Amino acid sequence: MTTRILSLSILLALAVSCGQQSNKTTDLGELQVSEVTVDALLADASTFVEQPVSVKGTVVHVCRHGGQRLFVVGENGEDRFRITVGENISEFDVELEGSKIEVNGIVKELIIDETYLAEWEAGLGEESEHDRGEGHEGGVGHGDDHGEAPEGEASEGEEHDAEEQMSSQLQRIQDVRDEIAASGKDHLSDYWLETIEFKVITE
Amino acid sequence: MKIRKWLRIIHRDMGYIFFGMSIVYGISGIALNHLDDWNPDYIIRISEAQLQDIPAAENISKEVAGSMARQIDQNYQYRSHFYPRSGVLKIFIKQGSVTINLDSGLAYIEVIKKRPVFREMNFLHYNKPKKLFTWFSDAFALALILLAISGLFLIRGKKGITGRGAWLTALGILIPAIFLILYL
Repeated sequence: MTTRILSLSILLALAVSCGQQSNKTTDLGELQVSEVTVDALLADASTFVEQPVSVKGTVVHVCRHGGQRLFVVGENGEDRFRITVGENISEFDVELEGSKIEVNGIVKELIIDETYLAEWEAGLGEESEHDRGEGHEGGVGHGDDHGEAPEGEASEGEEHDAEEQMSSQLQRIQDVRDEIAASGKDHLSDYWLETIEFKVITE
Repeated sequence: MKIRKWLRIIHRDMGYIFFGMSIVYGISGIALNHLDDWNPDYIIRISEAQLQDIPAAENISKEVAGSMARQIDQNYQYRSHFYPRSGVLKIFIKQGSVTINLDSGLAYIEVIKKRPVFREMNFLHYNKPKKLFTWFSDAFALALILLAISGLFLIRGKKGITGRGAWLTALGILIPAIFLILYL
């Protein structure tokens, strides 16, 4: 009996210690990190793709469903840059909203071209609940902050909603195609920063 | 005979060890099945208020923004503010945020509180601790398989796997199989 209680205690302690690790940050070690502003990233993130950067900004939104991404603003306050969690960060706390943070991370790029759009289109009919829950990393409207749909047989209303959702997604795909055509390039790029570590700056 | 004894021991002790995890995954599983109906991580309250005597944007300092928030509720504690677009002021307060249309004075208030218990359970369910917890939750998944298999052979006779147990086990396999046939 005592042995079993001891085993259980050890397992519980392990679980608790694992939970506490979630907010720890990692040493960047030898990485050469460039300091950039949010405005610089918004203006031309392409020059920093796959590079480690450090950026400071005010958090204006944290995803309410799972805290897997947040948005920071630059000087003008109107344009937002997306920051996602990384391997060492479990989630962003909604209490970060309104705080100034410094994030070290890697700039990521999603190339949105005809292949991507064709896959998106093909996947609409069979879109998984997970995809609808968390959205695509690229976040071009392919998914949102809302959660999974309840399981079970769809009512007429739900079918109607699904049709509307499908039609709005198809419209979104067409809009992106138009944007690509207007850009004069064969693709659009979506950029975000994947967090290695971050800290709240207290002023 | 000896195998059945070992299966009983495995079933009993795994059941004790993973009781907590079963409750965590069971409760959070229900919570996560209904994400369209509620947010299991946060309690979010939305309300509106009409503010009077709105100052011009250029006159809104930290102190002024703080007092605008306190016009709505004396307990609101100012954190920071910014302008998401022209004519709109967003004030972050400790309790959430207040977004004010500077032309009309209409304020949209969002108060956010962490939902106790469910937030912690979902944190574990999604394996957000990662690292060592991945091993522990893998052990739990393996234990569930062992619990299921050992459970089949706990009882002999009419109510065991050769009698009523066989029908119930078949039913439990058939139901998810029907869903697969219908929806996959």
